[in-house]
Amino acid sequence: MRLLPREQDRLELFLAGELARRRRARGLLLSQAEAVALIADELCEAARDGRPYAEVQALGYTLLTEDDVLDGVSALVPRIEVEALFDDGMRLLVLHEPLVLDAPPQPSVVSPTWDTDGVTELDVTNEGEVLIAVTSHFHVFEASRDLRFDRSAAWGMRLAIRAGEKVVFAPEATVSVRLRPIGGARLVRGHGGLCDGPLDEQGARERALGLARERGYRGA
Amino acid sequence: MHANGRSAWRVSGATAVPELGDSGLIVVPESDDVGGPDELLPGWGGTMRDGLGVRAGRGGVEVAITGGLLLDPVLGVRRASIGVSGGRVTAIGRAGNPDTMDDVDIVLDPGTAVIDAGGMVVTPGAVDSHVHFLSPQVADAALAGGVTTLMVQDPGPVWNLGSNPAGLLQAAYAAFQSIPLNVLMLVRGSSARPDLLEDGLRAGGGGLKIHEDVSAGPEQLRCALDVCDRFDVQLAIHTDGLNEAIGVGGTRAAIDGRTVHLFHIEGCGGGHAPNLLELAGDANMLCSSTNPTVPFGVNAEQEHLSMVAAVHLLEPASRAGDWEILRARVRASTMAAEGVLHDLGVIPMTSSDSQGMGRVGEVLRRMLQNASLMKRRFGGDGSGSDNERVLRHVAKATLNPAITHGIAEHVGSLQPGRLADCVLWQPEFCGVRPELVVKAGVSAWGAAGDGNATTMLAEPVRVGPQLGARGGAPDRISLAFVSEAGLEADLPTGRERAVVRGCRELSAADMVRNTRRGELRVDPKTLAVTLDGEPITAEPAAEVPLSARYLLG
Repeated sequence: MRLLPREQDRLELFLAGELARRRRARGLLLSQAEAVALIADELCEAARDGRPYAEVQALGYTLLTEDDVLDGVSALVPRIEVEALFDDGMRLLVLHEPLVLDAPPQPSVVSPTWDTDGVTELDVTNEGEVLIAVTSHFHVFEASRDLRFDRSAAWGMRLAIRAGEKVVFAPEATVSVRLRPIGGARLVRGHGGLCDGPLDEQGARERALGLARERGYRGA
Repeated sequence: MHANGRSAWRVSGATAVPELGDSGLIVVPESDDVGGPDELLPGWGGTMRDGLGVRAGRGGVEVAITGGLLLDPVLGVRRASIGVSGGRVTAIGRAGNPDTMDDVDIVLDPGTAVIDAGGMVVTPGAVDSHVHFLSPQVADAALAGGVTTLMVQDPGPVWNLGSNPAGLLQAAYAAFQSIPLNVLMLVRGSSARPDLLEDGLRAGGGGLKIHEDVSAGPEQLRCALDVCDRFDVQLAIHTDGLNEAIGVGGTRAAIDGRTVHLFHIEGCGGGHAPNLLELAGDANMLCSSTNPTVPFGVNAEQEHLSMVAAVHLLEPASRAGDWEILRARVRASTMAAEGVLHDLGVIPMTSSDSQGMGRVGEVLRRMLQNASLMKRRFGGDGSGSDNERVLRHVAKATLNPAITHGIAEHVGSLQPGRLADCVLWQPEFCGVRPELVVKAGVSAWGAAGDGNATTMLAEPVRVGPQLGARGGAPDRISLAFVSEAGLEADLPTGRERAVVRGCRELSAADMVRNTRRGELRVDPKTLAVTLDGEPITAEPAAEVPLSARYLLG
């Protein structure tokens, strides 16, 4: 057979899945490892049967429920990742809470969590042609030149949102944002390359505004 | 199989209180250096980027283990990051970029490697002081149980009860070139003459071990202790379970107040029957359990009748005397007392006794199981968390054996200066399956999936070797603990050598979070155990946490 490592992995997954199936057939409630193995193995076989991706993914949410596992186990399977061989080759499947949900969770647009202590409010308009996302710790003054806002007012500020969140500016849209001061030693390096030094040094803002105007940053 | 994904409490930050698996044990952070507006987050659009959460310029640590919930015998329960340089912890606290963030203790720069511990519980790597290394597979099981330091006897298979002679010790060190575990070799101490014991320490041994299967009489005890005093190493003792030359009183007299490490103090693992446990009340006796008797379960007594005979080559059905000594050694009453004595802090350490009556991968798990069962029996301490009880039990598997064997300036805790040996656990799986075992700041063992997959953790995910376990990496990230006399020993190892020291003046008061003393008695007729006159006992557990919900069996 000249089995590849990936194929040996598949056999191990099958063995664990088969053990789980037999135990289930004896009426046992499954452990975390058994539940994961059974679901992952069944997905691989459904792909082998030639079923399409969406159907296999949906199947993953119907195989086991909380009633099939030991008490508390459903919370122990927040996600299963497994690769299966579909007719168009290997494909990654990702299931979220497959013992709790009965269908794949649908993504949605989530609003940022604005810090109410934000000291500055600004309207920002995306005058470019593509989506622009600005993250929590970026020096807003140096955000894309296609964004039009009062750059001077955004000097030394970052978005007053939770770490890891983004504010998305769709083309032609105007979004009202809150800003909070950058902390620490207030030394901005990198970012858009307009400051690249201490924020509070005399003349720094004016120098950066000049550079921004020179480079075509809107609102500078 | 792997529990993929991040735990819910990461999302809700410091306000959420993690429970350790299904143990019912709740750990509440005493401080939070992770959450807040400047939380460091890896990923697309995260804060861990140049000039944002990462200082644009020099000055950072080499490795940052960020965002975990530390459970450390000394540091306590803290949400904090760990800064690492040169393989050692440099700081504990908030990680980030001091140019743009307040109160940063650990600076990240573009050269810093980040191990994201967000949502994870982080413990020091466990220190297993009682390992019969009868096959190299022990190392894999140890790492998969969160152990990062082994004290090794019997690199074999071999009938030895030590790591001598020099040739075998050298062969073991050669083998450990591919094993990412710190190692301290215990040399056989069962000799009434000092020459061979001294030779063993000069050859690279880091301590002595006395075992009754190769003699544990008064002359061997005195001789080995004299050598230990001269070389500043610890003596681990499995006492005379036959009471052939001496009993508890004789052992106490031979030790004569000097510091020793008494193995499997409950006695089922070996030692004076039926009352070895009485020595756990003495200040100079640093005592450990081995793990099949803790926690005490309904099948423990029957299992041990089989296990003792199998390991110690008894023939209880056909050879004179074997059944009587076996029956005297396996006692439900002392097993029942053992878990309670751990909870009270009377027994300060645990260990495995791997392949010699113990399970190397369950050192930490069984401590958490015991903590859980003791909480169920005695209730919480009224503080609203189980921090104290959890840390008391964690200390038994980490720092206290390191202190006892003179290596606590290197391992056992994550205080600055120590080796960055730690274990990342998803809280739901704490003690059951480690997510990642970090050795000297390098990922050495942990969850690893299908190597051909598009993501890191596609099934089947196993807990197995990571980068630090391959090629020449293990020797670069692991220490060899030797006596000062063995510092220049001819050993086939590229490891840094660290000197064992400070073993001889220790007492029970030096055991972290486990300093309770008292007069322990085992009634020779009824076998009932008392501490200062109070009965110490517990019903055997019909089932244990951190077990059936998780494991394939």
